[in-house]
Amino acid sequence: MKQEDDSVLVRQCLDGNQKAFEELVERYQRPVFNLAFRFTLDREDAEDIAQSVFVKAYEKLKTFDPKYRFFSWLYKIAVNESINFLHRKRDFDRFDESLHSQERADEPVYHDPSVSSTIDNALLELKPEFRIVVILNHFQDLSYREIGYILNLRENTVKSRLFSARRKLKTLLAKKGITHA
Amino acid sequence: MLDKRTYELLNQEADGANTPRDGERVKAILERSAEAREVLAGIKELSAALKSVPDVDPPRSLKARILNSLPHAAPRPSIVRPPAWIQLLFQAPSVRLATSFAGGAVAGILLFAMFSDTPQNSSRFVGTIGNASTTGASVSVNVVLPLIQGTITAERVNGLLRTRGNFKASEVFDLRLTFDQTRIEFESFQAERPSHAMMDVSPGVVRISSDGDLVSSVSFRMIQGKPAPIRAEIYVRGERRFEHILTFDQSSQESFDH
Repeated sequence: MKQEDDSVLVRQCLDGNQKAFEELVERYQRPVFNLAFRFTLDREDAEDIAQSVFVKAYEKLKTFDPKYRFFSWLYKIAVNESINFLHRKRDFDRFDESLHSQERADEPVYHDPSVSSTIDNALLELKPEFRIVVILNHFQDLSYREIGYILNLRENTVKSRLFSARRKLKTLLAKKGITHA
Repeated sequence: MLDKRTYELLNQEADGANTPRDGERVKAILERSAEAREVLAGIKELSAALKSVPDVDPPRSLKARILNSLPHAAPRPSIVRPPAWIQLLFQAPSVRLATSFAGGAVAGILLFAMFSDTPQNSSRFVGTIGNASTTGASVSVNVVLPLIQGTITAERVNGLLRTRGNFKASEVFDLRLTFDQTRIEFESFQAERPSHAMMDVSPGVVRISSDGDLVSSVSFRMIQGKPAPIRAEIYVRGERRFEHILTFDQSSQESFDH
């Protein structure tokens, strides 16, 4: 039902109805922001990414193929924006990826010792290509097939990355006492 | 030690993604392997831990920020368009001729005053804007932000509209040029000095992202031989920090670069 609604809103938006796009922003700003936040663990960065995701979506709306779900298409943009953002940030900071992620992992992003912040920080220790599949599967509840569409990967590659990421994450969380060893 | 295929089946079982046939296989594996039972329990425990992480609330301002940054869409209160009668007046050939002879500089100053917004009164503006100076064929606007200083120049060169940005910057910024694609179209981009800049052209918008000093120019072709204004904006970390409407009518005679 919601899928149909999204398609209707996209059509209305293409017909020049600005309110229709506002409704799409209203619906998806939260998951897009959360995806970007889990990826960067930085609220400001997540805001920047969410903004550019919707601007890109607005500009490229004509290219949306209604045979796909709108949010899958939107997440595709969100993932690309998040990855590009990290690349740009990394280049700008002149850090290589391992040094960068190591530094970020060493620095406590939150001073909140809660379970969720421990999990967030453990996620940040995963390589981006593994982190993103965990985010899409566990936080956005997407199937292997949908993740494959979003990341331009074969379903088997998605599974392989997801299962490896889980193994690594399990080890990290066990060390921090969140899960059993 | 479980083999790769078994580990895959257990993960799929936890995700509810096994076919009935694979489900039966998993059942059989679990009956005979304590290690498999432990691995499946571990995957479910991990999934539960990840599920326990709450969503993060996006800032309340996010929606407005997104809508305000859409091209040609959101209300932009800081821009004042000239009244219709003034636009008509300047479309009349006799008036255009007269203004040409009266001097490009005077027309430039007049048009600048009418077309430009009043950023000093805008709560969204951060930084200062300098005086526009006419040089007969071009108008320059100073950009003075905390970590970005420079000028944007609008000029007509060899039948093209050219915007030239010259910035000293110590932070990442986006220069966005928005235009009416029915009146002008993107022609070329030229970086005049080596810089870390990326350019993205989409309908009605040219974006240049730079992580430092930038000296570059973007040229536009006039579709019907008439100029059209270009909105120049500077974004820092997604926040618009500068905005100005560049107009090209001030250059009654074209300059030529060789």
